[in-house]
Amino acid sequence: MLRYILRRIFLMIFVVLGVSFVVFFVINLAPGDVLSKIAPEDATLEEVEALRVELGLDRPIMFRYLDYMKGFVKGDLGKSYITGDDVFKTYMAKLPATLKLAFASIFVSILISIPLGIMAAKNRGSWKDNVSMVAALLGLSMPNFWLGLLLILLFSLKLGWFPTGGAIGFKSLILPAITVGTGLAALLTRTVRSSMLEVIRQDYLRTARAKGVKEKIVINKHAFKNALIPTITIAGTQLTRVLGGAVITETIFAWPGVGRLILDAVYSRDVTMITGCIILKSITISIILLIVDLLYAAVDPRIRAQFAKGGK
Amino acid sequence: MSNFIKRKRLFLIICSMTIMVLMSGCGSKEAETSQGDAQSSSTGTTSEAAAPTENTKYKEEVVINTGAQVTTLDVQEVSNVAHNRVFKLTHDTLVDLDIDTGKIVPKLAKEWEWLSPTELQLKLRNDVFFHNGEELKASDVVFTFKRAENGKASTGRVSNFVDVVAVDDFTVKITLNKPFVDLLDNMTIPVYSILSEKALIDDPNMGYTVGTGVWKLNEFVSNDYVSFDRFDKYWGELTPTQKLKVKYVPESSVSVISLENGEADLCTDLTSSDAVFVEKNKDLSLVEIDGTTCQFFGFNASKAPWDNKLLRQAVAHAIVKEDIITATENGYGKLATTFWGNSQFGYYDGFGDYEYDLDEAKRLLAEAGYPNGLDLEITVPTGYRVTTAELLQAQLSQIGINVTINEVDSAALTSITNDGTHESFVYGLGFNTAGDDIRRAYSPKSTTNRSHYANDRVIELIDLAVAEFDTDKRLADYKEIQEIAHDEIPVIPLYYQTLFFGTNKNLGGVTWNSTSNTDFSGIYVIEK
Amino acid sequence: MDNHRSKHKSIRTEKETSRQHRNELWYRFKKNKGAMLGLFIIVFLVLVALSADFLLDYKTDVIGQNLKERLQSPSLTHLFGTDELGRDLFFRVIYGARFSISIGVISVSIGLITGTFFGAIAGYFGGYIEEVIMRITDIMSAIPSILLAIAIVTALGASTLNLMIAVGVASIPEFVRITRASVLMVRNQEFIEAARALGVKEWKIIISHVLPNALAPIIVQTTLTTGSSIISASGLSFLGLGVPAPAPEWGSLLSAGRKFIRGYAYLTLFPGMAIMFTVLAFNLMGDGLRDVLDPKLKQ
Repeated sequence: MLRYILRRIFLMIFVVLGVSFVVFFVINLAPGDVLSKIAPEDATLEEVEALRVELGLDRPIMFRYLDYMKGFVKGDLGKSYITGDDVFKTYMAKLPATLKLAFASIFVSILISIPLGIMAAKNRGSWKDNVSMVAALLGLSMPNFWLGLLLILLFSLKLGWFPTGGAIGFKSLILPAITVGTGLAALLTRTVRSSMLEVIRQDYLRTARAKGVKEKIVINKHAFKNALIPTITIAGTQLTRVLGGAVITETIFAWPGVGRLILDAVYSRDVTMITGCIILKSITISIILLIVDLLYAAVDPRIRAQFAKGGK
Repeated sequence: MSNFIKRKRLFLIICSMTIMVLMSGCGSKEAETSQGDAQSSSTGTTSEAAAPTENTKYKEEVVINTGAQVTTLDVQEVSNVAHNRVFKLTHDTLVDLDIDTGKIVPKLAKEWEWLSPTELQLKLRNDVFFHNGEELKASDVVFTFKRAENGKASTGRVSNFVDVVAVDDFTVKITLNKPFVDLLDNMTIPVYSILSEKALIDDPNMGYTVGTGVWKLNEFVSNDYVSFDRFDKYWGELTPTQKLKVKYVPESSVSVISLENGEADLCTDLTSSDAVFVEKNKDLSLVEIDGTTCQFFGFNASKAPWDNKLLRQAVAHAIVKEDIITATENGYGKLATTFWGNSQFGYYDGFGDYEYDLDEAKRLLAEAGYPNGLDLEITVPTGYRVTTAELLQAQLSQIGINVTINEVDSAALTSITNDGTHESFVYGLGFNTAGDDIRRAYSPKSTTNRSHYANDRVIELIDLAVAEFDTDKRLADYKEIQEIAHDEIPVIPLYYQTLFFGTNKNLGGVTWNSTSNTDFSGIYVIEK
Repeated sequence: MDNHRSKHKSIRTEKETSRQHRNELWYRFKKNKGAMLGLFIIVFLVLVALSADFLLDYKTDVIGQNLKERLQSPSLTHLFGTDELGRDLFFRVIYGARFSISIGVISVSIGLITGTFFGAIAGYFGGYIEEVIMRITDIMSAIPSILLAIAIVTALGASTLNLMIAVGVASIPEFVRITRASVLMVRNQEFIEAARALGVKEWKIIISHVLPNALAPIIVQTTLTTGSSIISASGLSFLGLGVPAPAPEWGSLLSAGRKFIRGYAYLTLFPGMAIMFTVLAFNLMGDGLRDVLDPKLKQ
């Protein structure tokens, strides 16, 4: 077990190193650097160059990367070129908003997909099945910014139910959560449906039916309970996807999360901020995945046995 | 001597205004409104809000939406429109610009005089307090300008300062290395705001947020919002509003909806298509201001083939600026004929414009050696200017110029133009009122001379003009620059962009301005 | 020797049954209404995209400007209305099918070919090859696709092809994982071992035996990714990294129309619907294929 955890942590370090390297160099590929955002408008070309030297940005990228990694090894992710703020602190300040949005979106998608999935499974092949699946796919089929704008037009402007954005209070969470959540609902509905279908035909349900248990109870109690595990698994993997920050949704709803932080940093070529955020993001996700796996192991002895063998 | 110079200064301003009025003919009205108070000059402004009575109830917290991110509250680090608007809330400059008259008026300095063409002495008010309770002293001013030497935005601003000394507790003397006529004009820009020495010694990291302004910083959440509390010991007039919040809303259409919704009370920098909706809404007011940002189509004048004047002139003859204003700005905006700020000292538009003449354009192309046309890449930053590029593409196809559009983000555009790898580009440049601000547009060293245009006579004239205390001569210098630029046309000026602000119709107390001087510090909203 | 032959035979029967199997699959696919609807929409769109050049003249109908008729609401002359440059939105949406469909198809091919290749190698060979490939995949998926896109598009220049590359590269990790997982499942099955024992070359085994048997999830993923690529492209347009103007790619149309959303909602409505139905079609088809190909759901 311990070996397994150590192995995972080792892999995480490898990924973090790789990510930092790739991000650092990828940003360098893109034309434009942070100077275009911090040099004053009335600067002369010489002044810009002087500033570049002052910030050490004139040095070859390999040296800059090594410098960065020196700090990183000591646990220092550096400071933003733009705001001068500590990258770690800034990321941590934005993380709660992203977490909130991520969990709310998963919640919304579960709310949509469980009834739809059950309905589809119960009426397999009928029009109800088709309608449910199309409904589940709708959110996934619309570009997020369009869906977000439409939601704002309807719920903020016409009906006045929810604010257009900002992370103030519970109400402001609803529209962004719907925007992201509907996009996730498709996969989840599909999972609910197929795992329900699998379970429905299994022997013990046949027995339950034979014993005269009502179909509704069979479905709701027995089948659904067993379909829950794959559903939760999928929801869990989706969570890690949303955790990276929903860039577009966060922009539309002025949601102060990690996604927009990274986006603005990309626009201003704030290398330390981008690299730091993405490193922290992958660490966050790795840790969550590890915790999820460990939880599984705690619940399921079969998986625990696998860990003991050092498998994956 | 000093009085003489002061009077000269006044004369200079009156002169320039008169000349501007005479020269711009029927455009004079707009020229004035561009500087004027929107409440009297612009359409649908906050007139009913302008007359509060004793028992009027005011909204406790006012919310302003901005589309540009505020990254720092240090006045010496950044100088651009979005930041300056925030800096003006918390900080004061020594002098201010009266936007009705274009005159320099007292602010923290109650009076000043030029002891010599390189020595400016200012007397400070003695009733000013910083947010930390400290009294404003001459030593703070000395400290501020000393610190300015290391600020990213301020360092260039004080590079001509030889010495700043405190003559007594409330008197400061600034010595320059050479005469600089525009100093006072420049000192109205927030980058010259006065900081508290004590605050920065106590807290070197955040002490710069302490100013003498009406608004005291409450919370700064980067990438999200900045909130302020009213500073009740403010030396000037207090606003009835208790709290103020400047919120970053990146998506402009959403920003407008939140204004319609009542979530925000003021929305800065609306697009013209959103402006139409604000105007239609009975609960909102639209503030429309003739801007000083000149949108233009520039060439890389240092790189073949567009270093050829004839080619650039050919293009100038093939462009229909009115159509660009129609399509890009829904018809708002003032046509530009010279690459100069329209409220800037020295503005001259008496040369007329290149006539739309496709035959002449083709003749010039042939003369330049391209009778069959040529290819041209237009680099354009993401956003509304893409529409302009699309129009240029269509218009230039008429004379056989085959345009490709290279859409990039603004960071990439800046590095492309700095490196000079571009052929042509669509961009904008906001001009301040000071005449010497033109250096940014024409000096070959400037990063905002994105055309890499270099003309020795133009540089000579810029240097002459800034040391010239005789207004007529100075104006003549500036006129000559524009004459040369008009002929060599490294940049085709397209239009001056109209600025739109959407507000709650009960909002008042804002001094609207076309440059970055819009002042929100007195903002209030009357509650029904 | 005898033993060898019988194993060889078993491979051949495998092929025969797979043909039979395919017919059965098609039958089941036809029964799936959603999937058939998706297929119809896609075929229709592909036809539209292919014939767009015959139906419309790009220079005049698609990018030709007419400021006198700018921002007109939908009418009989302009079915979907006109944009701020007076271009007919109906024509632009029709022609845009070319861009959007080819972005979907080509970018998915990039992801499919690269991802399947490395996924198959990882799954088949295992060991440290697998380890390296999978960790690189982890790294790739840890980098936000927007960042990759910005780097690719800005470094190579904004063009339709570079946008396709950007979107395609972002879809590689998923293909690697799926291919690897399904290859792992078939790798140790008898007929593979048989082929190996016969001395068939490794790459031949992968291509002719392993991949075809791991195909089902890859096909499903391909269909679904085609849809999501179109969405990704529109997202990049929103961020200003889309197909350069004046090309009428749907995402660009939608993104350009959003500043008019308060007054001229049709400018976003039609391109938005076009994207929605197209992506929906790909998803329906993908879902249908999944149902059909998933052996667990056989009745």
